Amino acid sequence: MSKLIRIAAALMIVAALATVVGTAKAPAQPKASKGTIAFLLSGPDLYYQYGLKGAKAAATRLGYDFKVYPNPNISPSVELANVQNAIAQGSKAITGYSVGLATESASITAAERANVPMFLIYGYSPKYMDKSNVVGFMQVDVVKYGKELGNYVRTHAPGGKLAIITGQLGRGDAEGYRTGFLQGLKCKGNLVKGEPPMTCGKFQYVATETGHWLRPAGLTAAQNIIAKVPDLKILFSENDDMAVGAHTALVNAHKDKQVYMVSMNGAPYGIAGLQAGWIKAENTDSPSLEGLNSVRLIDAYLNQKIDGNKFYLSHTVLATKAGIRQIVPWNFFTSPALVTKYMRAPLLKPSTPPR
Amino acid sequence: MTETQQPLLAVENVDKHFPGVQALKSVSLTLVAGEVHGLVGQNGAGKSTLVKCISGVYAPDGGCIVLDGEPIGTYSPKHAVDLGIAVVHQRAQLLPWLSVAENVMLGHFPTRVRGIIDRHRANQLTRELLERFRLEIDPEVKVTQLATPERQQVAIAKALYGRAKLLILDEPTAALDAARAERLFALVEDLQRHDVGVLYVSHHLEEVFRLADRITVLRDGELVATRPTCELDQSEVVTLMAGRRLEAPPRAPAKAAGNGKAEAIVLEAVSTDVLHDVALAVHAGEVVGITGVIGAGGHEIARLLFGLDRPRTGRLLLGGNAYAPRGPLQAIDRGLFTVPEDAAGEGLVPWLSVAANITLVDLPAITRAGLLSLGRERAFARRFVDRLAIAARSPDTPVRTLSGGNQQKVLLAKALAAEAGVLVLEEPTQGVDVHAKAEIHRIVRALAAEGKAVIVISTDIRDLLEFVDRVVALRDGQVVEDVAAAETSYAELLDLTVGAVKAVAS
Amino acid sequence: MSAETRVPVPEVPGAAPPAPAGARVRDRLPRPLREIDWIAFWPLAVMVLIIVVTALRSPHYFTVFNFENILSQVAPLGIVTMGQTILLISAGLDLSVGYNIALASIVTGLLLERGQPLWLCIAAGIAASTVVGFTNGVLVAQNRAHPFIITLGMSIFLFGLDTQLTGGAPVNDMKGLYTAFGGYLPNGFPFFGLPSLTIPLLIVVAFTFAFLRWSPLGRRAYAIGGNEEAAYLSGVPIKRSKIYLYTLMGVLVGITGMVLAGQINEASFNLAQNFELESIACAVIGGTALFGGRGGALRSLQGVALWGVVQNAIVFAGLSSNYQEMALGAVIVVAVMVQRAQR
Repeated sequence: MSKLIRIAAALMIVAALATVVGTAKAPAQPKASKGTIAFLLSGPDLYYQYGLKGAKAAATRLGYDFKVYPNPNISPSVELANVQNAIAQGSKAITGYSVGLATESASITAAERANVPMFLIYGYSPKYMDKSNVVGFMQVDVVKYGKELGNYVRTHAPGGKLAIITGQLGRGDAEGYRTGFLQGLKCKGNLVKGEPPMTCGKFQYVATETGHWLRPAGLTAAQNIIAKVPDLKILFSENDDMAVGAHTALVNAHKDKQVYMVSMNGAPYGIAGLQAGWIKAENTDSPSLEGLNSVRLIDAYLNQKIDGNKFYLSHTVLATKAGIRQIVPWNFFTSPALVTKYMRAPLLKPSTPPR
Repeated sequence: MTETQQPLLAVENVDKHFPGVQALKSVSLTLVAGEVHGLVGQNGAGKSTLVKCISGVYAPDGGCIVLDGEPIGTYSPKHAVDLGIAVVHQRAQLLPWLSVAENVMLGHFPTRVRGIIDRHRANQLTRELLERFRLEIDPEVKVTQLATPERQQVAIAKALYGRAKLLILDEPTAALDAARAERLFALVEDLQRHDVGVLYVSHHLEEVFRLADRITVLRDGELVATRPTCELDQSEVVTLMAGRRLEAPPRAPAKAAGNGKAEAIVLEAVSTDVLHDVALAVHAGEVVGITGVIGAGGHEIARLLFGLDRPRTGRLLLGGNAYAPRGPLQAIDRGLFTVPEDAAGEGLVPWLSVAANITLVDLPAITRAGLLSLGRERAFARRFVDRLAIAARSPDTPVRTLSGGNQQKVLLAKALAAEAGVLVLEEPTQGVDVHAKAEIHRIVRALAAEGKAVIVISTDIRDLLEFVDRVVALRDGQVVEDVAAAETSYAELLDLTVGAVKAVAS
Repeated sequence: MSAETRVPVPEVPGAAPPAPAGARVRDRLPRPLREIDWIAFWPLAVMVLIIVVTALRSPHYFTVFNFENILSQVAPLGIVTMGQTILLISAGLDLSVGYNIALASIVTGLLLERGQPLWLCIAAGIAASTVVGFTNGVLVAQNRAHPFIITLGMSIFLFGLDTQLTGGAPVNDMKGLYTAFGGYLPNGFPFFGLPSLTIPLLIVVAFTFAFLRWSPLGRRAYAIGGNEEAAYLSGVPIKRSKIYLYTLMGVLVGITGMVLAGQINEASFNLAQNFELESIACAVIGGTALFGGRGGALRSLQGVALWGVVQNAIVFAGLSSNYQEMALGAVIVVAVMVQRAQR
C-alpha cells in the first residue's frame, strides 16, 4: 500500500513540476502588444514552415505576438483542437493552412462562433467565403498556375512520353495543377479527371503517380514511373520536394539526361535544380511571401482599412535558368532589408475567385 | 544425532511482518546436521514464510538466522544456494522450456574453453545424478514434456546437485503418488546418513512422523512446541496445531458396492488413448474414490466426464441416458460438475468476488429481465458461504484474498450451485491442512447423504479410505480393483496400483 | 494456493470473521463504498492537480469555453475507449478501431453524397463497422492466435479498403451528420449549451457501465478475462461470448465514426488514426488490466479525461506540442506501474 502512495505522490509531483515549469516560461507582455496572431501549421512540409516564417516576420514588424499551433500528423481532429485552443487563448486572428476543405468548415464555424477573424492560405471554397469572420483566402489560381507551366512545356520541350507526379489528392490544388498543366499542353480528353492515357499533340501523357508532396514518396513515384515507362521523355512534378526525390531516382536509373523535368514551387533546392540544369522550368510562388502578406492583410482588416470576404492571388513567377533573379526567394525573411522591401510593397488587391 | 553438536541451522527470534499481518512472531528453531526436522502447522500458520526467510526470499524484520555458527545478514536466494541451503518449493520452480540437464545445471554449467557450455558433460553429469537417485528421466528432455511428479523429482535433484548442507522440502509429496513418495523417503534417509540437514514441511503427519527426528509446530506465526518425535503422537500434534481437539473424522459406513439406489453415472467399456476398457458405475448417494498413480487414468476419466475428451470406444450413461458432452457447458446442463485439481489456477477467477465466482455456473438463476441482480447474487452466494463455512469478509470480497482452503471451498460451492447430480472432485484435499481436510470429508459425505453421486479422484490413498464408500484402483489405464472401502487397506491398494513395493508403510 | 501470509480465520461456522489489521478505516465505510478500489482513481487526483496549477498560471484556461473544448476533443475517443475497455476486460483488444471508425464514416459519407436519407446513411455506416467487429470476433474465437495479430491484420486490410473506397480523397461534406454533431446544444437547462457530442458520449458511458455491472455478458467478459480456463470449466460459452463482445465493439466503433465525422465534417481514412493505441492507453490509465479481468467504465472515462486535460494544459503552458507525447507516455508508464503494485 505504501508503495502505491509513493508512486501516486511521485506522479503528482512530476505533473506539478512540469506544469509549473511550463507556465513559468510564459513571459509577461514586454510592451503593449497588439494581440496574438495564431498560425495553423498543418503538416511537416517545408513549404508550410516557410509560410510560417514569413508570417512571423510580418507579425513581429507590425507589433503582434505570434503563436504557432502545429499539426504534424495532418489530422483533422488536431486542427479543430488547435482552432479551439487558439480561440480560448485569446487570439486576435487566425491564419495559416487548413488540412482539408471539409475540416475547414468546422474550423471556420468554430472561429465564427467566437468572432475571431480567419485568413486562410489555400483551401478556398465559395461555401465559406461569405462567413462573417472570414477575412479572405489567398492562393494561386491553381489551374492558371499549371497552365502556364504546361504552355511552356508545349512550346519548349521535345515531344515524347510524359508523366506527372502529383501531390496529395483531395485538397483541390493537386488536381487543379494537373488540370491546368494538361490544358497548357492542349491534351485531348477529360482534363479534370486527369487520368492517362491522353494525346497532347507531340506528347503522350502515359503515367501518373502520387508523391504526397514529399521527397521520399517522390522518389518512389519516379521509380515506379520509370519502371513502367523506360522511354520517358517529360516529367512534371507538382512541387520541388518531390522533384528532388524524383531526380535522385532518375540519376540512379541513369535516365536523368533523358528526361526533361519541370516543377513548381521555387524552393531553394528547386532553384538549385534550375541552376544545375536538371529542372528546365519552374512556376514559382513564395510561401513566405504568402505568409507575410496574409498577416499584412489581417492587420489591415483589423484596422478596418479593408473589407473581408475577399480572394487574393499569390504572386507567381514562371522562371527558367535565365530568369532566376526574378524569383522571390523563400528565405527572404533572413534579411531584414528584404523584409522591409516586401512590407513596403503595396497591399495585394482582391481578385475574382476561380469558378 | 547428538545434542552437543553446534547446530547446522539456528533460527533465532525471527519476525516477519506484511501489511496488515504479522506472519512470524519471534520464531526460533534449531537443526543439526544429519537431522530430519519436521515443520507442521495449519494453512496460514507461517510455515512457507519461515521457509522463505531461511532460503533468502524474504528478509526477516527481526531476529537472525545463523548457519554453521555464522550469522547471515540479508541474503538473496542465490546467496543461499552458495551457502549450501537448497529448497524444493511446493510447486517445482523449473524453467519449462529448458531441458532437464539445463535446469539442474543452471548456475554452474560445466564449461569448455572460453566459457562455452559443455552440453555433453552437463548431460552426463545430470544422468549420473539422476541414476544415483534411481530416477528414470532423460536429461535432454524439455521440462514441459514431463508430468508434475517427474518435475518435482527433477527439482529435488537440482537442489541436491549443489551439494547442499541443508535441504528444505516444502510439501514434497503433494504431487507425488505413493511409489514415488516411497522413493523420496528413501532419499531423505540416505541424505541423513550423509549428514545433510533436512527441514521437512508437510501436512501429511504420517510422513512427518515417519521421517522426522524432531517436530516443530507453528500456530498463527508463533512457535508452539519443538519436541522429539518419540515424545509425541499424531493427535497431540493436531491439537497443538489448532489449539483445540479435532473431532474424529466420520467413519465411512461399510457399504457393499452398489447401495441399491439408481445408477447415476456409468462408464461402459470406455477406451481412450490412456484408458483400456474401463467399466465403472456410481450410484446416487455414493462416494467413490478413484486412485492410481499419475497417468494411470484418473485424470482422464475426469476429463471424459466433463466433456473435455471423447472416448474412442465405449459409451457413457448419465441417469440412464446416453451421455456424450461436447464441453463443460453441456456437462453442466446435464447435471455433472467437475472441480479441477488446480483450484486457483483452473477453477477460480481471481479478481472476481466469491459470489461472482459461485454464480458463474448458473448466471440465469440471478438474472431478472435480462440483467443481473446483485442483491439476488449476494443472497444466492450467502447460502453456500454459510453452508460450507467459507471464511470471507463478505460475498463481495475478491476470491484471490482467500486462503487456499477457503478457495477450495468456493470451488465446492460452485459445484453445489451448479445443482449437479454428479460431482467429480479432483484432488480435493491436496495442499490442505488437517482440519480443512476433515471439513471437506464432512461436506462430501453430506452431499452423498442428499443423494448426489460423488467421484473423488485422488492419489492420496489414505485420505480416500477415510471417507469414501468404494474405491476403484486404476493401473495403466485399467481397472484393477473395485471394492468397498471397508474391505481393503492402504497396503493392498498401494500394491495394486503400483506393483511390488519394497518399503511397506506403517 | 497456499497463502501462508494470511492470518488464519477460525473455521467455525457462524462466527464473524475478524478484520485483518490495517483495514480498519475501510471497514468503517458503508458496504458499497467499502469494496471500491480507491487507488484506481489516482488519475482524477492528478487531473485536478493539473487543472489547479494551470489555472493559476495561465490566463484564459479556466473558462467554460476551454473545458467544453476539451470535452469535444476527447468525446469520440471516450466512446471508443468504452468499447476497448470491455474488450480488454475480456483479455482481448481491437487494433483495427482506427480504420474501422474511418470505414463507418466513409460508408456514411459516400451515401450522404448520393443524397440518401440521413437515418439510412447512419445505419449503413454503423452496420459496416459492426460487420467488421463481428468478423474480428469470429476470427478471434476460432483461432488460438492472439487478438493482437488478428485485429492488426484487419487494421491493415481496412486501411486498404478505406483508401480504395475514397480514392484517397476524403468525403467533404457530412451534411445532416454535421448538423447533428458538429455544433452545440441549446443553452439553458437541461443541455447548458454543451457540445452536441456530449449526448452520445454520456449514453455510451452509461450503457457501458450498466453492461459491465449488470448484464450476464458483461459478467462473462470479466470471467473470460480473469481466467479463461476457469470460465470454460464453469460452463461459460467462450466462443459465443467473444463473438458478441467484438460485435458490440463494432457497434460502438460505428457510433464513434458518426460522431467524429460529424464533428469534423469529413470522412477520410485518416480520420481516427492512432485511436486504437490511444483508446488502449486511456483504458489502462483508468485501471483496466492489459491482460483482462479488471476495469470499469467510469475508471476508463477518467483516463480519457486525464488524456484531454494533459494535452490541453500543455498547450496553455506554452510548451511545444511534443511535450504532449512525452507527458502522455509518462502517464501510461505510471499507470502500468500502479497496476503492478496492486497485484
